[in-house]
Amino acid sequence: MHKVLAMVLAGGRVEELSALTLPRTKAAVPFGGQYRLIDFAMSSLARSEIERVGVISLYRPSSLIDHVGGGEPWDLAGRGRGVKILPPFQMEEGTRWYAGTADAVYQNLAYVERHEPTEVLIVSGDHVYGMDFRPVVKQHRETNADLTMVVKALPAGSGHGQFGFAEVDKERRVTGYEEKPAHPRTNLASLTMYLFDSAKLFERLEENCLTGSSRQLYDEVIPEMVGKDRVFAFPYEGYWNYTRSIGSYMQANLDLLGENPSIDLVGWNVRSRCPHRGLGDLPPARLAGECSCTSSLLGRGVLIDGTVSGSILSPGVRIEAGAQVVDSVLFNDCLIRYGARVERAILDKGVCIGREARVGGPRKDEPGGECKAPASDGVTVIGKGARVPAGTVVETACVIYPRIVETDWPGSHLASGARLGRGGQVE
Amino acid sequence: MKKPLVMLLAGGGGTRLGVLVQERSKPSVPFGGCYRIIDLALSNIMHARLDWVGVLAQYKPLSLMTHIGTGAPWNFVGRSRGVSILPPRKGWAASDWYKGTADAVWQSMDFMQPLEPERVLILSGDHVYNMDYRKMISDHVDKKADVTIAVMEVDERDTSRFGMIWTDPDGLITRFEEKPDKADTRLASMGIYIFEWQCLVDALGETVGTGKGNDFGQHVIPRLLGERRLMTHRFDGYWRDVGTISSYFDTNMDVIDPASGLCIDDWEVCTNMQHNHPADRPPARLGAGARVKEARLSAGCRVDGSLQRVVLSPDVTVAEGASVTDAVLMDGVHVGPGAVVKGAVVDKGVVIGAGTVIDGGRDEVQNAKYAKCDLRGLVLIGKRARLPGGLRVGSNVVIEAGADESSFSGEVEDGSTIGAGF
Repeated sequence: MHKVLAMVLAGGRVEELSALTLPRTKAAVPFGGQYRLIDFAMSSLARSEIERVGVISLYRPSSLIDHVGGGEPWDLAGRGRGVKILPPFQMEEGTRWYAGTADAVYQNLAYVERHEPTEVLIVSGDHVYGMDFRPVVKQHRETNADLTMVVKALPAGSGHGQFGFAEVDKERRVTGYEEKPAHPRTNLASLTMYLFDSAKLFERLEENCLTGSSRQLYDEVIPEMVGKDRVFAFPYEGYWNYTRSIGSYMQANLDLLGENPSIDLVGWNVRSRCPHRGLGDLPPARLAGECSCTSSLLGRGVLIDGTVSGSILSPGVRIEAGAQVVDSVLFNDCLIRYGARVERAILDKGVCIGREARVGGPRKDEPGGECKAPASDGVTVIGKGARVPAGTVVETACVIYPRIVETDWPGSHLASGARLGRGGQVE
Repeated sequence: MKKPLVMLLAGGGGTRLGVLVQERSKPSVPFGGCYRIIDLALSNIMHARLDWVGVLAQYKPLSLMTHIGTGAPWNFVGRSRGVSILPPRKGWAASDWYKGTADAVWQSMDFMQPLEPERVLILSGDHVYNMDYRKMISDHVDKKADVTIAVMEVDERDTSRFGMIWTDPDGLITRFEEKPDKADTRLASMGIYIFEWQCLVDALGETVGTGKGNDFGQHVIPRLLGERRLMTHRFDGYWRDVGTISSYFDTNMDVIDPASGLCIDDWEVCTNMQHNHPADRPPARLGAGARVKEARLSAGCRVDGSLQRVVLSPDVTVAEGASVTDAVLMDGVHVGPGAVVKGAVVDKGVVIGAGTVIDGGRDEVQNAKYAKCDLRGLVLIGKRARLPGGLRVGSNVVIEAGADESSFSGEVEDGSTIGAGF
């Protein structure tokens, strides 16, 4: 019987997300008020009726393990179904981490083989999209492919140096592939979703183990296979964001807003694990008599007495009277005290902004806006549990490390682009 | 000391809640946006760390059974814990519908006996309150009572709604009257009892067992007066019996304002997030034109219109230009563009057409069919009713479950009732 097993790559930190990936792996970064990034991959697999999933973990997996748990939100708990976290492990011949994505899958071949899949689907756990993989599987079987890679046509001239690009003939056969070329010959970018014939995958991973150096699927196994195996492309036309920088992570969050959001949480059937604080379930969001709230998403247990617009408030966030939150993303349990203003900022869990403090500011091209770090798009990021003292000004594109408390602050003004590190070091 | 066994009375039809109990029992009526009324009692039991719960259910129990499920949301799953739904059942000795609260407990001896309880805590599943039963239990044990009844102070004019209690200075109960017109005491029974096991068995045997009555308040408690040690336990917090539509509405409004004493944000109330899948709903979404004040918004809601003093359950949509004030809207209700809803309790899945005006709030012409619901001007709309666009609905109107466009012919006047068949 044909059966697809999925491997979700969820091990990487991805330094570009700065303070957000200090406490957790990127796939476990909160998103959209009540989700984590991995929910998009998991929900796409659930929607595609793929019932056996391995999740490869490496960097700080605690949040990921709690969140994935037994897989109940994605109906992966039951007979013949299941999700398993696959951390690196010690072996007789010694200890080493996963060298790359190919190595990570290779080291877990025993898990894959035990379930005897006919195909193995390997996807990234940190991309935002909603996909039904069934048509990919169908095409894969019809074309008798060894590998089917999902590609997306990018606007001409974009993505240079970021993605792998495929050359595809009119039968969708991949005839050429380049990883992160400076001048790609096509605009078809690989979305790092690969469907392999199991036997062929095992064979190529064995070879890669002997001859590879980077041990990455994308720059060793895939280019190798394009030369000698039946490799096909499957075009994907929907929304996809790989949230590889603070700017694109912020944009993906804002893509949840507006009249017809490009991220369709309901249509994609995106599911998540319901968070708890203490024993109780959080009550519905409460908006008080003098508040104002427009163009925003509100999670459970949110309490608003101030003004909110264009923002995403995760469960348990509290906005006191006179406080303003504009175009920002606030993770669980943030507290914005009286009279404070937060604009174009990402606040990790449990951040407290003191009274009358100012955090972030308008976009560069707006009057008064400025930006020194282009990848961050001027967005200020405040790490988990950090506290901004009352009256402090934190300009655009700043990064505050997790757990910075009032006494760590060197002054009451942090200039645009500054990083406030552990112990109050300004970089 | 063994923890008391809990018997939760959840059988009530609650007819004074009108069409809200057309398809479910009173304890499973949605409440406060994402809860059901019974969640309050179940959460109190959980917080008191009590382990065994029997839920006595008789009236349309399906929704209640789905909601309670295995009891996992309230931590009732484990080797030495559990919750059992106890519907009426036939046996060779007793075989009948529950004839009253005491009869229901009496018929559940088969559930209670194997657990060998030392004490039984008897609760109602249809009250909104936050109480630590452990204080009452230790009170009961310290005072060596046979029965302890939780009491609270009520206004003089409300004595006819409660079982009223007279005590001596030590809190020993000397007199008990069920719903007296006048009483020179202010202590009312909250319908929460702790019984010593043997006292319960004897008392039920002497009342239910001999056909002398089936109700705790009317028969069992008076029977024990003077013979057993009946004590009171004072409770001073927020407590409501959401018995009528107006009290149901008021209690929901209290959820919006913590100053009311109903501090749902602090009570750690648990609910079954899988029941109808509120867990899988996205966060509530407010559009650019939304104007929202004094409101509770649940997951999956989409608001583009204006709201004030409104409680929204999951998946409610309020379209652009619509205005909703003083209302409780349950799961999946859709308020069309430009519609006006004022003073209403709207059950699940109701569709209110574009530009329709629901003009509740004037308590002038009474609704004869639903008089006992105490509508107080509110408009009550039953499950899945579909109201056409451009309709005008007056106050004290009840629209029954399943009514659709064909059920209406022109303006719905104050005090009238619209049935599904018309």
